[in-house]
Amino acid sequence: MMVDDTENNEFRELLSDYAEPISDDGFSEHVLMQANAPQNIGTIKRFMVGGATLMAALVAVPQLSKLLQLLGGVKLPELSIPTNLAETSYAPTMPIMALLAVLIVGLGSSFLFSSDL
Amino acid sequence: MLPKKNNAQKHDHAKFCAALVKTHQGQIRAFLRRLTRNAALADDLAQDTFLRAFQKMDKIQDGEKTKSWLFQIAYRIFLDHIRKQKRRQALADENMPIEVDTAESPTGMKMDIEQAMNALSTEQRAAVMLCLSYGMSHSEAAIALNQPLGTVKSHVARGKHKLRAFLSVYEKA
Repeated sequence: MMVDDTENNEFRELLSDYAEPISDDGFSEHVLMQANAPQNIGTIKRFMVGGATLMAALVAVPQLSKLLQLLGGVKLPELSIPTNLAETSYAPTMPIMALLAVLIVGLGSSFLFSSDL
Repeated sequence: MLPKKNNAQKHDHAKFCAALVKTHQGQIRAFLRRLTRNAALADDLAQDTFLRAFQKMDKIQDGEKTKSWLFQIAYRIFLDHIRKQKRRQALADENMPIEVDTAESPTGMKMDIEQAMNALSTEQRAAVMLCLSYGMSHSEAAIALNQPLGTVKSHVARGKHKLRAFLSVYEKA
């Protein structure tokens, strides 16, 4: 045991320079900056996507009534389609618009609240 | 990215991260430099080590165990790097393909020790460094290297044996 300890101490002394800790030449600061960087980028991305969604909504919402009016004024050309089929092709505009709105809001919110950003 | 926390927790977390990296960067970087034999690569791996440690802060333990835990992450990252490198270069060699730094070439006794240490396998070198340079017990080194206690003891014993033989030959020469 004593021999082991003496030998270990000799090795420790021998290797003291070999694995000498490296001085902190700005490494710590760099690592801490790196650790915070993704979070900042994530926040910025979230704000950008949120802003873009809001802008899109602001532009799209006032246009909706006009679009609906436009769609209401559309008259399908008379084609040789059987009458019962023509009736069904009457565009269900409201459900489609609602679906689109849900899609926009869904996409926007998934970007906004996604933790992977 | 750091885990989501409230402001007070974030502040504590940031302080803890700063303390962790400032306390242990010297040894972790030195350890990785000796394993990779490339300062730039070692610093990259050390950075990855701390970033991974920050993410797993909840698993952190106090005192000396923190040191073993950090070395464990560092060693795992080093092994991952070797695996990727080996896959890329398809080398059969046990040691990693090395881009050896020539900027700081040691001289005299330092060089002898470096050569002797480089003659050890990676596992032996890691075990010897942890136990003999950083004063870890065998069980702490076993945690750090994620190896059974007996294996670590054997690596240290073989490492010492090889070092002794190498250095005695060198002395005679």
